Amino acid sequence: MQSTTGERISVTIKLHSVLRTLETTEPRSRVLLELAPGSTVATVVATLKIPEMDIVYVLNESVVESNALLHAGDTLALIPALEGGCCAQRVKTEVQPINTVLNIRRMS
Amino acid sequence: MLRVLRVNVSTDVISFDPVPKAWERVAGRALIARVLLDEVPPECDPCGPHNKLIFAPGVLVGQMVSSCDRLSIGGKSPLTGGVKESNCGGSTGLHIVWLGLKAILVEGSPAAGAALRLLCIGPDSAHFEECSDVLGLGVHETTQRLRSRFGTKVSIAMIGPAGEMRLRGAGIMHLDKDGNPGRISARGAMGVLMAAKGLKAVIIDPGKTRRPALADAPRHNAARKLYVKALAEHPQTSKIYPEYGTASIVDMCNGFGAIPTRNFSNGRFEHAEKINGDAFHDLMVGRGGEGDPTHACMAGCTIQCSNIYADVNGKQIVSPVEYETIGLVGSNLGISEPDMIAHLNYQMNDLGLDTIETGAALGVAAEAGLMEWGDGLRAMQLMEEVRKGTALGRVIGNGAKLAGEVLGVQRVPVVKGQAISAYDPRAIKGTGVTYATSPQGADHTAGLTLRMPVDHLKPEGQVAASRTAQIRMAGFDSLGACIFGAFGFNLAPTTIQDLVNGQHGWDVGADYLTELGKATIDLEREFNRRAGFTPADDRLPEWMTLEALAPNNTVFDVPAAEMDAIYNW
Repeated sequence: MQSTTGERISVTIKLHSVLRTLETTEPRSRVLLELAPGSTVATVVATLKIPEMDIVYVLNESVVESNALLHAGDTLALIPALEGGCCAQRVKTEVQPINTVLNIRRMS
Repeated sequence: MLRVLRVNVSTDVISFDPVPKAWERVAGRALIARVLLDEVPPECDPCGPHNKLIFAPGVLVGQMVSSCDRLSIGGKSPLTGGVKESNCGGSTGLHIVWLGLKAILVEGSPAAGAALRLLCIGPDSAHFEECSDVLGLGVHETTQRLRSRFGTKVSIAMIGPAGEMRLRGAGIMHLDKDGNPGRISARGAMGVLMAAKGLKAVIIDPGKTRRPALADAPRHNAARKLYVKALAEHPQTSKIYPEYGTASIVDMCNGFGAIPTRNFSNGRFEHAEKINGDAFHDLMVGRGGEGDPTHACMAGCTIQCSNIYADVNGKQIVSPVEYETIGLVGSNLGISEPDMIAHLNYQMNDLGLDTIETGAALGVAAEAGLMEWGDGLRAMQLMEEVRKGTALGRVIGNGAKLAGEVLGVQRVPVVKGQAISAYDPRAIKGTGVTYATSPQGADHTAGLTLRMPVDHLKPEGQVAASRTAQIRMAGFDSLGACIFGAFGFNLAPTTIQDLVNGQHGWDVGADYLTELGKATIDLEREFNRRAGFTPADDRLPEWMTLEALAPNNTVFDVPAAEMDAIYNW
């Protein structure tokens, strides 16, 4: 449960690539946010109205999940993920007959 | 009806042959493995007469479907001694299919001491030509002269001075859609194999040929529309790749503590923000002129992840600058100036060198004390040594493994003799499994696990992640599809089979990609087994299992027994 009592905390948000021009035409790489105690990475995503996309969160020096708790003085980097497409959809890995369609005989 | 062009450089006999039945439904990477098993003695000398240089466009090539005109070049690798498929964009593959060719096989060996020649291929014809005016020249000057001689409509696959010297960092360079020689079949010393066949360049003149007729045009066209629409709707292929390109991976890998830094001695580079996607993007946009962060390497590509990097005056330095080059030539050497990385990239392109292999070799050289970390000018001097063909230059041009052996360096990032790409396997362990086990040697394009749902720092789950990625990549390489196209295919899953069946009149099903990927890897592993590879070759260098990588302080600890079972499907 997020607590909203106590002093607000100041967190530096680093924005990368397409997030730099979110709701602005002039790229901005850093934003300083004042958040309620108990705020998480997800709070930042909601506060900045980040659209739904795959994002890597780096809190200070570590990769974290969206439920990571933020503290005063933290630096959180929001990095839109890129990858080669290998894992965009899992392919079946169960045993299947090596195919006759391809005219390829499985080698032992 | 497609044909196979056989070119024997021992006898100069050239023939257009029917496609053997067993090869009819394989193409690209799968066909290379099939040809090697059928026609190349696995124990042969990679530079001898029994090896073959194979050009094999993928299944989907020829129709200018976005990101689906890629070419596989392969043979027995002079670098790894095993199976090799080296994949590239550009226009070469497209034009080979337009000429009605399933594959080009270059066989035999030229007479001892014979000068390198050109192989010129046009509609229903092929012949050799002499090329004394371009021998020893860099790739850019060679391109200008050959385009002046053969016209600007031709495709060119060529080697640079590094290939001519048979340095094992040498690849085969290709023209992009604008005629710039910025695409490369980089990995596995295919440039050495081309030199061993006595060729400086292959000229592909499509003449008045165009796309081959489709077997089922309505089906193909409907699938193409669906696929392109899906690419346009995915944030990665509609926004991030076009605007920022692969350079954006710098921040991700730095965040994961996996960016190669100072010869793989650290996973985090303190100057990463000077060489990340944002920095390159802002320089390309801010300087204007010829610089452009959005550029297509292949005609018809809607993703356009390539770029043109220009200097302060807006004059092009090189196209493109990619993440792997930034990682190996930038952070791996401690270099944090984008202009210097671009100039080094240009020099490596001009020499016809793989930037991954050469960047890794330079990292080894720096560790041996031949350059200071971050000293880009010294790196440029070392490239000049390569160009002059000095003993030191040849050591570096032959790649990281040989450089380590000659210079007495133990921290050498190679598997099966081939340099590790810009993802340190101690912090992205699934990709480490790929490096270790892939028949291709260390290569991220054999199966990158960067966004697999696993904890990259733990050994659990990495073999499964790598298996999935490797199957998928082998499938895409055989299709002739860029893996970035996967974002479109995933949103419109039936499009792969509809494109294949619509183009060829086949009847492949929903499991086609998986079947193709598995079958390809099976064939490759069998060739390597016959060439003498054993499970002992499917390992990372031992120092990566002993030396913890900062900042996560992890070693590579995926159990060998698990890795040995990766292909038991």
